[in-house]
Amino acid sequence: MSTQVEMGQRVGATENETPSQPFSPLGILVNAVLLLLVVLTALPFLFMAFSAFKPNSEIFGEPITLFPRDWTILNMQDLLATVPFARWFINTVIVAVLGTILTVTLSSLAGFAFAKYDFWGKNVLFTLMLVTILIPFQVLLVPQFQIIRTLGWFNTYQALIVPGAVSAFGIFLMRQYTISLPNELLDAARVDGASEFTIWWRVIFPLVRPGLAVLAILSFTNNWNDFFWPLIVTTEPSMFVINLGIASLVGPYDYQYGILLSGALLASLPVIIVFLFFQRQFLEGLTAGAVKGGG
Amino acid sequence: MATQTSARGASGSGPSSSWYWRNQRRLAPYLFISPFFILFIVFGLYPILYSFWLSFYKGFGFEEKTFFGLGNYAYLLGDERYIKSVRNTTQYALGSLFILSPLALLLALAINSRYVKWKGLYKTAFFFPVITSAVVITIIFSRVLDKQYGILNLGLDYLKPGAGFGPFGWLEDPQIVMISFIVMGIWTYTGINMLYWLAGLTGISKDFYEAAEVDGANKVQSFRFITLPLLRPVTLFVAIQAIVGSYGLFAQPLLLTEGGPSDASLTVTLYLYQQGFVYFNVGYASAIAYSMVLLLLVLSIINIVVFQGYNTD
Amino acid sequence: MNTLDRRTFLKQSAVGAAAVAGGLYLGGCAPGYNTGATRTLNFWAFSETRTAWQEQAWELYKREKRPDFNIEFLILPYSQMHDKIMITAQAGSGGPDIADIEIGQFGRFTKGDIIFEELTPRLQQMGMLDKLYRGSALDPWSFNGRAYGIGNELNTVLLSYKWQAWEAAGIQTPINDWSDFAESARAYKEKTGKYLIDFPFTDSGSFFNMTLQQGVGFLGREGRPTLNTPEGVRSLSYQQDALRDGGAIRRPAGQSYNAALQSGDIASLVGPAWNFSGFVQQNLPDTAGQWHLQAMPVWEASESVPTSTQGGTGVTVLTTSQFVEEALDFVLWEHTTTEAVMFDFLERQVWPTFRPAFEDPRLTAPIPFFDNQRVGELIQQVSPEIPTQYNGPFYPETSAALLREGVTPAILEFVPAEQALAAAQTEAEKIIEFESA
Repeated sequence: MSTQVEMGQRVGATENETPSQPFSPLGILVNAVLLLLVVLTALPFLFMAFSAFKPNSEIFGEPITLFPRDWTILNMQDLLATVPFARWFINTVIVAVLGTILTVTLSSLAGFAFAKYDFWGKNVLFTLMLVTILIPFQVLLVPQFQIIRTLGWFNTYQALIVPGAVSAFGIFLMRQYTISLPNELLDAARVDGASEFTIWWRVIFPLVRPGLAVLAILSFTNNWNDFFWPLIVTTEPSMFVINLGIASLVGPYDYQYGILLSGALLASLPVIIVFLFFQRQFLEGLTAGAVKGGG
Repeated sequence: MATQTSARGASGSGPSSSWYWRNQRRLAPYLFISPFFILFIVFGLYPILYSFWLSFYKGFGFEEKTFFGLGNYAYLLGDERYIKSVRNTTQYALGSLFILSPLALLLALAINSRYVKWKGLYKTAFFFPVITSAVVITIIFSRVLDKQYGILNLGLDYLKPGAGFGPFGWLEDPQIVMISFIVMGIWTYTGINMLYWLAGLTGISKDFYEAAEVDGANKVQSFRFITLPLLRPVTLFVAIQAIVGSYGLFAQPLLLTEGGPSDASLTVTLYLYQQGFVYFNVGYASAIAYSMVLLLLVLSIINIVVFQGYNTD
Repeated sequence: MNTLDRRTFLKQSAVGAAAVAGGLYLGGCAPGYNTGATRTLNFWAFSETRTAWQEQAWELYKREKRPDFNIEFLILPYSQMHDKIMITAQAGSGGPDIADIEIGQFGRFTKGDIIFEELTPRLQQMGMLDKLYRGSALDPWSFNGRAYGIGNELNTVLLSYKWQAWEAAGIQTPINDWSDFAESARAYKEKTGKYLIDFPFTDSGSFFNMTLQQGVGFLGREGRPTLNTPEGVRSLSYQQDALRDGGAIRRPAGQSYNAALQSGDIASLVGPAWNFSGFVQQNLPDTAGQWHLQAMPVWEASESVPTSTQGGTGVTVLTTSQFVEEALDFVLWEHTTTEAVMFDFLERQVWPTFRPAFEDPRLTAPIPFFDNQRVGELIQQVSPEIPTQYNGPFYPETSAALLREGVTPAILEFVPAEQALAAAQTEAEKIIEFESA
């Protein structure tokens, strides 16, 4: 129903509204409230970020401060000295990047199949997969653990990447974006003699870019932030991922909050940076297709 | 294009590839879904079926199991801890549905309105908590919510200094610990819900509003009769996301309070985990899980009926 | 538009390819278990303070015995570590060779096949069984009479009090029984507005000590719950009465508790060395010199001993280890060698469960933190009376039920002691019945 042109128009619609009036009395009020909320939202995070640069005595002392009175990078240094932080960082990059690529590829392929083809069992399979989204992952841990053991995948990158790439939500998402593409495009490509695979690679894949952006960001974020599955399948500290690493600092380093906070800060930055980098595509993607009604 | 066509058409050589070419349209979907499905069967389907099967058995961990029929499910109904966990989680879900989502809608309306110029800034700023990891959120809020040294109590103290608004034990008082998690949930997820609402709002054509204005409708009326109905598919989506997401609350209570004090912050998935991993009653844990799936299914269906499906009139 | 995405995709896949290459390279470099010719044993713990002495013990062992293996210590947070051992040992692989197991968690591992090596026969062979204070060394990690873990911490429970505050209020020490204590507590509150002691409602340690000294623990000999007993009711009612007439206060949470101890708002505590020495010295170093120790008061109304044993972490060797012999050798050695156990005393003032070690004069020297009291002597005097306790598969469920249905309602809401404990007992039994196949 909607062509690319329409999608562009819809996205543009927000920009081409009636002229904005941020400085009318109501406008000032609205903006002030919004800014206040932004500050409130950022505050906890900033509190953590700044505290990473305070000595422990200030973190636990009175009065409680936001900005450090005594700036120190001792915490960061201690962090890097006591734990294999760099190694954790690299592990997480590998897992997050490869995991995202895998998820995006599998999901868009399968999403395409569900969106544009008719095949035996299609609806049943799709509904079944949707239902699996409701299942809490904790209940699957024991059998999944057994499988990892059988495959001998403890302390490997595969164990961290592969199971996570199985995302029914990803397929749901990609199907949503793919389904709205006009069939005429596909038919035209077929007339030109393209193989089905080529249709996916050359026609569909580029056109669902917004959807890919959303999925990629969500997938990257989930992979980066995950600590629980890594907890189950890694026992070697050298194979920890960042969030598991800092979680493991919580116990013994309870009173060395400075180290913990600097670890938390460094663990959050990459995702923020990636998000900022892709933010336009992400926001466009959400607007364009996520919640449209569709077959 | 034409030359390419013939080149391509001719490139299929030999009987096998032309059979493929002829049939690929039928085969392709299966090929496309197979990478996913192979992995899904191994890491998704098998664990699901196995754990479902387990829910009808008694026994510890990896050992011998004895058949127990619906015994686990029956026990559920009388298990106080289970009931408590459902209550806690439902509290949280209600908070999500009736505080978080409307708040996000308000924000979306504000940002979408003509009073706001720097929309991108707000969208991004409110989205940050979503991408923070559970571990980091835990670390942040264990500091923010600390009774002695936390900035929340400090802030409240500024507003109403002195007696009466005493320091709250956000994570220590069984009465308010769940409220703390709701607050954390609001902080974390308002951003993304706001984006969902925005997506829905921008999808509503301006023509509707213009027509309404011509008819003499005021802001409130156009909100009630145009915006809300047209937002129905989004509302459905947000509602289901809120419910399913809320029942999955796990990492924060695990790390912050371990379900305490005295089960006051025990959520269903945390209880499930305790049963399965601490007490190793894997059968019972599975029963808890699938009872929850049933509950979520029912709630989702109710939502779909109430909001009359995904279609807009 | 097409070119743009191709560029982005190519960029991404270039990163991906580099990551894969890097990953394979690093994967090859990942240190695995047991690299090289020396075998490496993995030791998992949850507390740095415990690995401190064991690492030193290990150095000593290396010098004296020149083993052909190595030990690596790994620290994980408390629940996660125990969870991991649970999973991995049940799965048959992925776990450590040696692990620190806390008393409250031990029960979990006794459901079905016990995954720890039995220590009693070997200790007997070594002639060491009688040389240990079994109450703290072996009982907490035993089931059905067999010991599966060994602890070095002599957790003799004592009453630690701020003697200056007590003296100033005119309290006569030592206080020999709990009724005298209750009276003194009331008088103290009247006189100074402060409290002699606190009772917690989020943990059952205090209840446990008062009841165990009367001969009753959480579980009976067969591992069944024994919560609803006259002794238990006595302890719980006592606590409630003290709270009601003002002699005691409910324990404040977190840092506030430390602050109260520091300022003297709460003037004593009942606990073992990891509490009166370990925690207090760590959290309230400024109170040095303000504490004295005495044995626990006893109960007039029942046969009771002036001490108990509380908590403890023991070392176990997993049956899934590939180096059981080596592991056992080290673990049993470090607990029965005076020089080795002395390390923990020097580190955290933890007295050893190894009796012959007390010949070392350092253990009975005056301790400045306790105003130069010869604490070791007191401990030596009282420890032989440590009562027996039983552990079992349902210890976690039982202690959880006790807290949830018994201690918390009783202390927080003054639910009558008998009623609360009866409820706890019923709950525990119900859970056990449900879990047992």
